Amino acid sequence: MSTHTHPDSFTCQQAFQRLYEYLDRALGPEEEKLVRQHLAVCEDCVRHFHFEEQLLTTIRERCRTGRAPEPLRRKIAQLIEGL
Amino acid sequence: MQESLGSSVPGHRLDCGGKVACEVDQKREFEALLTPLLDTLYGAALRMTRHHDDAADLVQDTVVKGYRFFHRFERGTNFKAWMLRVMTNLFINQYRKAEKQGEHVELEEGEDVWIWAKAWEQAGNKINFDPAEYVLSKLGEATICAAIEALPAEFRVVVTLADIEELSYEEIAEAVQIPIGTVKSRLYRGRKQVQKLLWEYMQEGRAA
Repeated sequence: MSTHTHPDSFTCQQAFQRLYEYLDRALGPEEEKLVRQHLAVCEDCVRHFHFEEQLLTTIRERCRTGRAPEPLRRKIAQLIEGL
Repeated sequence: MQESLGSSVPGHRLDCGGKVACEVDQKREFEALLTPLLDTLYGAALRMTRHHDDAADLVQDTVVKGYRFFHRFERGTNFKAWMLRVMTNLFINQYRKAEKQGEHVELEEGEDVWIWAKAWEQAGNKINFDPAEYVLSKLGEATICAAIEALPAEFRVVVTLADIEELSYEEIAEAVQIPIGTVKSRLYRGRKQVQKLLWEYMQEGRAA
């Protein structure tokens, strides 16, 4: 990992430790700002963060294609009528 | 469980012209919210249970229980997250009992695998190499689902709710009834295990 620095930002390692919380938009505003500041000056981290984001998107898109089978839909319609 | 499904009192039901009318209205409202969610619920159930029949049973149980507690659903909040919470609770309480009778699988400890780094290493750090192009096109539905389904239940549930259903950490914490810190650590370890398996599948030529 390279060691770009921004006067007020994280190191690569500090940014990387927050990778998933950053991608999940779960960081507090201060920490998110520090990660952003690091990404603004570190092309390596930008590319890796972007890859991880694409990987998560790929997983979601390719794994969410199922359709509830017709017999189940019919059963549930009957079930609700009987409730 | 009952407390976790919301605390609104069922008093609002009294404003719609008699008990029978209320029940009919409530049923229609429930059905209207539920119908567009059926594919989502079935998909989540399939990831959790890993079997079509068990998934269908879990969806039906979720519908029955969701309807029973529907008066506690806070109108205007996220119905998908609420139903997934009902489902997760049922899955953990009922289906894991059956799973526990079989072999209990734990996540193996080991070094984290980052596909990004592995791909670079394999490409000999060529300047124009693009790991995304190299990796993502190789990962098809069957491969990805297999990796998620290989996770032990407590990791599989968290990864499914986060990465497929896009629930927030807070919503997952409520659904699984674990602290947010535990959500984060299970999600991290689950995601790392999924990456490790995806990389292995790719090396074995199983990915498609």
